[in-house]
Amino acid sequence: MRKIDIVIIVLVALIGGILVATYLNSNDKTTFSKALLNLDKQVKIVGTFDKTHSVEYDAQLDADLTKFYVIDSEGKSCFVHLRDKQGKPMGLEQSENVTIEGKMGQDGVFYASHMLMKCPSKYNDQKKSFQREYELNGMRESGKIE
Amino acid sequence: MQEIQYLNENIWPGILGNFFVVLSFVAALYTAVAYYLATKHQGLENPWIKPARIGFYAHAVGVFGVIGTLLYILFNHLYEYKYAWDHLNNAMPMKYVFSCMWEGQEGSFLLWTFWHVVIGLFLLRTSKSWEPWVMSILALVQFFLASMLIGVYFGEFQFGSNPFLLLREHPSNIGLPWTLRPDYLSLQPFMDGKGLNPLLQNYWMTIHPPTLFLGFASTIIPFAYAIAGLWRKDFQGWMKPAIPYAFFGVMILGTGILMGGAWAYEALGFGGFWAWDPVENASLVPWLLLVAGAHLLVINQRKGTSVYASLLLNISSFIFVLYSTFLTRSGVLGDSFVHSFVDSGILAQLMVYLLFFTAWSTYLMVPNRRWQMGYAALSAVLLLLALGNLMTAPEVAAAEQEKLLPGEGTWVPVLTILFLLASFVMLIVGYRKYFRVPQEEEEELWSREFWMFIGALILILSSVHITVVTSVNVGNILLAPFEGMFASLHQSTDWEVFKRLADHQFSAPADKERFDVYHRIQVPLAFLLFIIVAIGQFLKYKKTEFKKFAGSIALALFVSIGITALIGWAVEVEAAELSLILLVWACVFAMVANADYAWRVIKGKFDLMGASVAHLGFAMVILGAVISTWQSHFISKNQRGNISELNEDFKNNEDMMIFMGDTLPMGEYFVHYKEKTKRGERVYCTVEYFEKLPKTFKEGEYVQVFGQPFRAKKTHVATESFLTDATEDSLWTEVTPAEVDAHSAEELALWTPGTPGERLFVLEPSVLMSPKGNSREPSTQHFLGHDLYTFIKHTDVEEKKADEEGYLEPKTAIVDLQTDIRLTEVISMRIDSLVEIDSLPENLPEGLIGKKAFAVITDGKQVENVMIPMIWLQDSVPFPYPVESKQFKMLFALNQKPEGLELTVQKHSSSERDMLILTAEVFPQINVLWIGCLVMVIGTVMAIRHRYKISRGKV
Repeated sequence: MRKIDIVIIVLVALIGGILVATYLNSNDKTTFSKALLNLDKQVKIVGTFDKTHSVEYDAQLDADLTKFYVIDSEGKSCFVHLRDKQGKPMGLEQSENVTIEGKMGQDGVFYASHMLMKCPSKYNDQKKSFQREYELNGMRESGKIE
Repeated sequence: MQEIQYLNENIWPGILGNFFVVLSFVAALYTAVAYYLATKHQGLENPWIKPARIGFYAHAVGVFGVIGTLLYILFNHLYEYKYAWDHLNNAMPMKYVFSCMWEGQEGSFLLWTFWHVVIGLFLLRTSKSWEPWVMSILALVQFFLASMLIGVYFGEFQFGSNPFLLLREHPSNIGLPWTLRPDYLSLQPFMDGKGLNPLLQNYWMTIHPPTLFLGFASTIIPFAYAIAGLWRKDFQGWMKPAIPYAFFGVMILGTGILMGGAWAYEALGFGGFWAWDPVENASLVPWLLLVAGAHLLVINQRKGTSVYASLLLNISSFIFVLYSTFLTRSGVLGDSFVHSFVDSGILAQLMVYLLFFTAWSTYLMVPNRRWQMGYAALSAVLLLLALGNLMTAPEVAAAEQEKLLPGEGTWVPVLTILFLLASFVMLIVGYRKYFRVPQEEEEELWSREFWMFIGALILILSSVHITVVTSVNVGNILLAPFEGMFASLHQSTDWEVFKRLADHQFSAPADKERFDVYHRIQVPLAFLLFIIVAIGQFLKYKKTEFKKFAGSIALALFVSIGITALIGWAVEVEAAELSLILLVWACVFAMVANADYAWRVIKGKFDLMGASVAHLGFAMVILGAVISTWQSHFISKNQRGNISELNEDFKNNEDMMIFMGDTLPMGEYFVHYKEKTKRGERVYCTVEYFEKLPKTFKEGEYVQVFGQPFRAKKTHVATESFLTDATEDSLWTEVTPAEVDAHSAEELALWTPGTPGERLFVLEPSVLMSPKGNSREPSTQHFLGHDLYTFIKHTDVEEKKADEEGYLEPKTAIVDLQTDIRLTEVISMRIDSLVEIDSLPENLPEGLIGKKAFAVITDGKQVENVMIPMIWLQDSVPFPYPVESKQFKMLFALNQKPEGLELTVQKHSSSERDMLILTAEVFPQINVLWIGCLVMVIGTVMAIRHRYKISRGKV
């Protein structure tokens, strides 16, 4: 065998190993009800912030802990304890979409260690503000408001 | 329908701009064709060179014209153009106008195109006999990039995105009532734009994108030369002129990447300078490939080997720039990624370009007509199938579409896999048939070229790993067609792994785990790489006598082991950190060996030293990165009692709570929270740092710690920790409060480890208020040996709403009797008893009954007793009857709720002190990283200068 062939075989084996390891170690996106069946597994859940509950946050007691509810893709709402070194996530209440990562606890609370938020896109914002402004202008002109 | 005459619209810059867009597009195509025709002739004295050059100049005029017109629109605040309205506003200083230009997608493509033009104008003069081929390839790339700005719609499909689009013409606005008003520009929303994201309003945004895009653009040169070499079937002749440019790319792209890291660290608050963020990875992978490719070119100059690998790497560096752009711009990363752009028309367009250049390069890698034709035919069939499938695909409801991955449910994933397989086969065939080195020319084990080649392979492994992890979502898309197969495999075997593959919902972890995923592979690879960087230059080309080599490397080996031992001793390495100390050693070894080589072997000859200096700098960059991340520690400590007890799993002890006006010890400083000010869009917390002077406690002095009095047994100077003083050195004795009262009437002082001395510096971390969401910005103090990095974890940024008398909004809680209720950090309340009211005041109506609560409020010094009544009509709900505490300025009310007694408290705005929760982290030796960056750039410039001289035949 030539040295270079050995090296290339090792290389291909390593790349294969990397591929397999990456997929085996990655988290699966799932839902709260599935996470309940698999308590100690680190999972990722994509959902929306539940606006019917308020956010609990007491900086004096624990500046890392934020408690709120998230609705997953199946429409199930679950209590989430997020522990983030960055403190309370800014703009949570306005967020459109959240991705939380963590484990489901035995108490039915989802213990998240990380969260990503998507805020409303420029596009929708713009459309709404234009529409609103146009209506206001119309009212001003027709003398309904000052 | 009558045409509307819009008032005050400035139309001509748009017309001019569109003219330039079309000019650059058409001229690029013309240039590519003209240069292609020029390749058919021998030498530069051929009829097509001049017309082709003129074509490229016209293209350059087009690109500069587009940029000039866009800048004109931005400088004049012409908000009728969507680009200006989206990225600019009146309040913004004009120095950020360039940042506005490249904030948007169109602008960033323009920046990239601009650099290609600059490079093209340079190559046009310097590439000599390679000009027709290299310029033809460059012009073709430019043709594709220019098409990204065309902005034409074919039905639903958007072809390019035009920066000169009028706001009223944008598809999202067409049909809205205001677009029918001739005077729409006088409406309030169109008087001002939305502005540049305030997070981007800093000098980083001005310098980082141009540098990074110059780096991206410079990968085109080795790419164009390599393709030209394949095209002319001159597989090695392209290398000599390409070397200086390849290293130029290494330098600029490397600088751009580190600048991005510096930006993330200084301003964006990533909590470090490298987060393995997809955008960062997207720029790192092409760089790693280019580094490998450039080094292989150097080997080839000496030995004439590694032809295939050189071609492959120099081509793939550019292909990966395209892939990265595709990945980060197209929205494929979806919800695993913060800054995704979702413009689906661009996705298809970018994918076509990526596939085109991949296919073209692969096609050329097999210099055999029959294979090439077969591959081309197969690719064309696959493309036609994909297009046909997409056109005939049934409409999917928008709600359904959101749940699907891009491309899911179409044939695109399967066809992509087939295309990739075919390309892979082509590459293997090309290697085995045309580029395989004959047996007898095999390299020696102890030769420089062998180990440089291994180094290149390590860089490839590293890029593969980063790419695979970053592209997990792409993997999910490619797995989609096999859903059924994996599901049935899962049914027959019951293996969990098949279920996961069938679900194809993989996602790369975030945060701390993401670091683990990368470091598990990247740390060992970096370790091996730096050993090669260290020994590489001591090995000779062809064959080195091992004994001689061992003798010359020994010095560096022993010195580096010594230095590493010192570092290890200084930081007290734990067993689990073995891999890190090994990496530190490898970096130190590389530094010492390269310095040694420059000193002893080259003897300081300036021309030859470039490589050693650059390697030294590179090792310093990684050394600084490893040490500062590994040894970073928080000096802000939680002093709010033992909060970790609240929850066993989580310890929260890395932040400090401080009230405005207070001075507290923190690490080697005393910090004073002076004020909070709003300047522009930011709220700054001004924190002053004072020197900490040693404090002497005299014998018999009393202090309190967590409310417990202690007496000093003898006169001593306090150390950092009270616990050490009290237990290990037994300098303090616990005393009863009674003893204190007998000895001292005054309030006891809190124990502190020192006293504040001179003011050293001020840091102002801030919160950026933005309608697009608030964000926190760190503030850092730089020292020679470390950085102090501070960050606001929490503070109130909104003005609190108070009523006319100054009381804040009420807060309620269910409380128990005879337990302490914490009202503020010092004030607590206790409801002792709740009794029936015997007699009600006379002026109240009949039929009322009630209870009254006796409560005690105290702040540890003063005590106030209050009586809180709770009154209701018979058989109805009680109504709250607020009572004021004069002493503590609070309102209290009680209410009986089914779940218990509900207490409502309203604090007075004057009693609320502003609170800041601050984290302060030390990053040691981070300057090694920045100095290393500088050294690497200097070294690379030296090496490029030398290589450029060689390529022009001057050495």
